[in-house]
Amino acid sequence: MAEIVLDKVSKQYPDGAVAVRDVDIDIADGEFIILVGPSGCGKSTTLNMIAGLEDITSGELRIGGERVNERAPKDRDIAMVFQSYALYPHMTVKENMAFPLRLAKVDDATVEKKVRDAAEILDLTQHLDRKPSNLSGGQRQRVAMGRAIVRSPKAFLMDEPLSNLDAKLRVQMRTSVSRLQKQLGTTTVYVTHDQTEAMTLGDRVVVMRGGAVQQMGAPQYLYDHPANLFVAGFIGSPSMNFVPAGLENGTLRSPLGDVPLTDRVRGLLEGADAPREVIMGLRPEHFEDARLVDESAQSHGVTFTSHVDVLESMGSDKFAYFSLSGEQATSAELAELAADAGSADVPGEGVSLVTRLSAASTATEGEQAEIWFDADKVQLFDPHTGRNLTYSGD
Amino acid sequence: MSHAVTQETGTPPPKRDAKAKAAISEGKKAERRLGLLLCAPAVIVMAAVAGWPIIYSVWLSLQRYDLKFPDRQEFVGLDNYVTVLSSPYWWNAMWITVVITVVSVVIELVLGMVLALVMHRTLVGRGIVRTSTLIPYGIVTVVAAFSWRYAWTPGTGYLAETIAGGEPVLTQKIPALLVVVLAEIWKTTPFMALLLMAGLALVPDDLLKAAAMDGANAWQRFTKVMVPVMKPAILVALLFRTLDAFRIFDNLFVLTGGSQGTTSVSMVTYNNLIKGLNLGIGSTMSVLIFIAVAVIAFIFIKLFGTAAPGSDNGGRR
Repeated sequence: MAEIVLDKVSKQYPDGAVAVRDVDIDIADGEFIILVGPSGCGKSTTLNMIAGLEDITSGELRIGGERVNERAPKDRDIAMVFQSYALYPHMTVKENMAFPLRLAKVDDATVEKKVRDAAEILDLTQHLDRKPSNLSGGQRQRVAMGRAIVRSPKAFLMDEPLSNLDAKLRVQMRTSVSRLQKQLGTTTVYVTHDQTEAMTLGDRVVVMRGGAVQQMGAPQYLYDHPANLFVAGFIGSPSMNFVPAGLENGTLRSPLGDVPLTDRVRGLLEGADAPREVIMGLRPEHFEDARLVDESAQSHGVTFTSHVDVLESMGSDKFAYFSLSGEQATSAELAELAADAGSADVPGEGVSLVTRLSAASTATEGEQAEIWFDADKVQLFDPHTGRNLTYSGD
Repeated sequence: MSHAVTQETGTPPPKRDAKAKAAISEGKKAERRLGLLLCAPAVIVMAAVAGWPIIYSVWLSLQRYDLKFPDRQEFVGLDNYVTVLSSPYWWNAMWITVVITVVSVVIELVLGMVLALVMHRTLVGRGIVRTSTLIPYGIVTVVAAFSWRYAWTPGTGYLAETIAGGEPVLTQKIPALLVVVLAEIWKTTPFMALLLMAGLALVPDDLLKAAAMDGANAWQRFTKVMVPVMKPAILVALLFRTLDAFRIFDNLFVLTGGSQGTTSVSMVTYNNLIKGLNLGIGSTMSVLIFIAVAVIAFIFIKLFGTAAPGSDNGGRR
């Protein structure tokens, strides 16, 4: 076990393309850290550099206080779990798990014991003599984990280990990965493009985009205080609503109506030298059916009436979709997020809005509904730089 | 668990089974008939060009049939086989053939693997590397053999002067065989490399990365991961080359003409069948070569588990 430090680590390919730019991450001993971002954001390259599978162009990587830039993967004492599991097809489960120990010339009795122990933890005991081709996806995934843990390495690196599983199994395995990491207390770096995994698994999440770190912090903090449009749009499902708005004399004019700014927000905006055109961000759960909000609460929020396009009842709550007339919010970050989510291909005009209402809401599909939202939860972004103008950076 | 399931579904009530059989038999029959019809042209062509000559050679091998004495043709049973199998010429040729086959195939495998790895890993000028490697394989064997002969001929050849010191190497048994093996290796290593490269593509990159993370050095990654995973491809390459090398003819024919006891089984057969006009003995030898080749193929497929060409088992056993 050890801490891992990335100090201004960069990766540039021979053709000049920069995959990772000046990444600084301090990973504490025993911490579970998630690298998340859309494909091509440099998260896997970063992981491969920690593993030693790719060279570091500049900067320093330290594991347990020692510089390891020049060390081969096998001399770094870290284990890795691959998205494809990368099990050796010609070996049984037992041989697969024993492979790193055999290479390290561990004696037979110890190998036997360690493999048994790992198999027990991962519930693989009855499969030890089978070949990977005879295992289910979830079992293969566990064997891959087993091969990583038998060695008791300084750290685990996981490259989208759950992406090849079906949705239901992924949720189960997510919990068991989390439990296993807590049980072993080994420093873990986990790469995923799935924001749900990022939110649920990690102690801290690093959001990456275009080879650079956008924001780093506890999942809830990133959710509540995104530093920019990209993080705001990437974290959270359904994602944050973005609506273009204009700042005028301390009021925010938006397609949802005029939003009075609270003193806190006004103070932040003054300090941030805000432009006149901004993007307003609102999480779906900050909306509510106006009939369910009491008078006193209504006063510090905004109420608007709109036509419910689609209503999805989830039992515990209801998702109501609206489309508002007017221009869509545009920015480079939003375009990239849309491309990554594939929603750039979904036809639609105007501003679409996702709201999450209580199950008690009487909103009906195809009819007008009165919706309220909390003005204090509004986040404002600079459309040009993507910066969160209401982010105090504390 | 899976056992229980198959047992359950494997024994449905007999009544329903019979009914189902009757119901599908009409469609199945038509389908089968169509299948046979579609195969028929290929089967007929194969029977005409491959099946008939084989049967005819077997028939000839049971006859005394020498075109020098055409009126003395008669059925002699296995006499020809006794004659051939008790002949020192045949066994010498067999021995030479086996030596050439084993030595050249082993060296080709090693060189071919090296070449395949180089071609697989090459990033810059991949096309040029691959094309230039394949040039020897693109040259007609007889043409290549002649150039080797001239190169080793004292007085005119550069190899004879520089390497052999003016010695006529092709007139001495062992050096001549070495030259033959060299010509074989030069010619067919690219083929081996090509087959092995296809096998290398079967080894996922992640597997090698995983092995590196597990602590394997380059050699261990090669021997413990790469070779076992690409074993099917290696065995197919070996099978093809062994069968090919066993039938060596053109290189020997051009380089030594079979002198100094450097005849292969194919050359002995040619000498008897075409030059000696002895159809009986020649056919017997052809049949023996056929049997030898069949045995080699059988050993590879049954004992080593080589996937027979065309039967894809997904690269695993």
